[in-house]
Amino acid sequence: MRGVLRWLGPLPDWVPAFLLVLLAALLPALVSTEYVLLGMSMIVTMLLGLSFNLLFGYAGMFSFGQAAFYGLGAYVTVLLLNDGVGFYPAMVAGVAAAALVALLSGVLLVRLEPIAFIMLTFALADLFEFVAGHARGLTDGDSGTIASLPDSLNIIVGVDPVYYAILAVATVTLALTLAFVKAGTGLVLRGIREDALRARTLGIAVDRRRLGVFVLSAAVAGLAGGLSVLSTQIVYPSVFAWQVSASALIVTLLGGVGLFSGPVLGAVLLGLIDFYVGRFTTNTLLVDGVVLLAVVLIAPRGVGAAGRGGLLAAPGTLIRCLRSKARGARAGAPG
Amino acid sequence: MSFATFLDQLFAGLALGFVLFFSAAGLNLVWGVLGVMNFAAGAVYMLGAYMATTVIARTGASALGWLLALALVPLLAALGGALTEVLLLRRTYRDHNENQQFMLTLALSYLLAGGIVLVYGSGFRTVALPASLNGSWNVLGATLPKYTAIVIVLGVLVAAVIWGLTYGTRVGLLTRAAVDDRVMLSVLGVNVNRLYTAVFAFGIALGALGGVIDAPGGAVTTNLETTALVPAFIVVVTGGLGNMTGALIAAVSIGVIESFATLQSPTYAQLTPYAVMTLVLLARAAARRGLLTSRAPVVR
Repeated sequence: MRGVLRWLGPLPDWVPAFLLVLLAALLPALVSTEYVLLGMSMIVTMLLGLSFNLLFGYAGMFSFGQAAFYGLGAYVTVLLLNDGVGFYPAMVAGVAAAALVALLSGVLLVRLEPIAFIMLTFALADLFEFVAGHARGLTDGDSGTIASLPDSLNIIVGVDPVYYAILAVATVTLALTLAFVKAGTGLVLRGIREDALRARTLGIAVDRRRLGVFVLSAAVAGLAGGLSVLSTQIVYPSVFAWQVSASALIVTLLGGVGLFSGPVLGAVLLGLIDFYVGRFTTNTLLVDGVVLLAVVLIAPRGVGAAGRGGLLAAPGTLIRCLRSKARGARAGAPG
Repeated sequence: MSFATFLDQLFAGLALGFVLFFSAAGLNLVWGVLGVMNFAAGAVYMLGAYMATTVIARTGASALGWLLALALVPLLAALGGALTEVLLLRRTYRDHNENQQFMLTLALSYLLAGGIVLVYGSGFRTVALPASLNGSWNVLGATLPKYTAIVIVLGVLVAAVIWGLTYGTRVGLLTRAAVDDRVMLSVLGVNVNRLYTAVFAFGIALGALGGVIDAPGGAVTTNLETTALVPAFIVVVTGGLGNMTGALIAAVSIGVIESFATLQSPTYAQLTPYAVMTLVLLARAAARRGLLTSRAPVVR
């Protein structure tokens, strides 16, 4: 019994994420198409949140321009797709484009002090929005670029195959990201987050590590953008809008910054909130504002880690508490 | 380019620069003194513009109504700002978590923008420039629209007021002291909390003032938040975080350069803020290795 409890006790922070992935795999069998479509958009938002969590949660770099890479992924994917390239190669090209832009801009950006990093990543996304809106020959400007998708990946033809394609890519990405943050590299990044000066003194190339995680995070955001083409089927310049960057931040914050499952939980929660509240009002700005304000004031570390134990760690905390009580009782009994 | 055209563009650029300066100054002041990056500045600007359309329309689009909006809207914004500072922002100083403060102001910007959509709807609103402020003067062969002249004069006035407050009054003295050492100042018996409230309220009022000035004549839309915020951010970064003189120089030069660039290509002229910022940042990086350190580097 004690063995089982110890095994259950402190739940690793990635377990909820993969439990939700399992649930997501069963989703089409359990609920109607409406909810499968909701799940699809949740997965895309989750990946976007994951890219932000990688940067901020693990490396302490507060980016407010994830939309730049998300949008690049979406645009490169849709433009190549319309040129006759297959969806997956186009998506990979989108990821590569996002990573490349992150590499080039990151050389300057990662050296900035935090507040300038926030503002300039923000300005980068805004610059792309301007370009996408004005390069009409390429993107049709504000009218948007319609994706010509093959039947096998068209939600109008069939929702489930598209859903499973998105889920599969997302699951692989989650697993790879988990491997990255749990490996030595992730540990070094957390060290830099806690004390950059000490890390530098220990001989760690801080700027290069920061650049590395910036590029990786951009690639994940680009992937989210590429997948979003499947669920939206049309790409507008507003994929670069700061509200997109803000949603990455909100879901991460809601779920728990620096927790691996944070953005997954956050994306599901925010998706459900927006979905149900959306039936009463179209003013999601107000709703998201209330959610964000509540999180910042009440649970600044997110629902995954509210207080010391947190909502999700609550079972573990409870069990630990009971266990120490039981141990205390046993210790007291002989005397 | 003839001299008249030169003057035309110069006037337009100066007006553009000073409107930019209002919101950037508010942002910069709050950052410099409180250490808070107020992301809601764009929403405040938008709110100022929307409220100005209401006030001016209600008073029959007269010059008096415009003056009323100019006085009333920043005052209301300052009240709201003071309330926000006391109720919400104040509780974040103890940890001094920049990111939490940023997210708080982001939440506020959502709430403000959502509130505006709730009250005004998501369509655009317009209010005409009062007739007595319309028209133009002829200066050395160039046309100087009355409203442009008013904006420039107002800009110079506001810059002078900020300078006078900072260097000529006791409040300004205390504010500068608070930037250097907040704890020491409160030990000396100064109510730093009240000082912070006043600075935040003043910063918000400046942002709203930009919106009021921008409102007449054009369309006031929900896009205004982004179109106001991005250049303001850029001005603050270009001028040096927390540096008010730098912000004034950056705002006016960006305005003037953009105005002259419009002659070449109205579309690409919109990229001026980015171009100027990139050049300044690169030059600064070349001048010294440490990039963009606004205050004395903190060794932790």
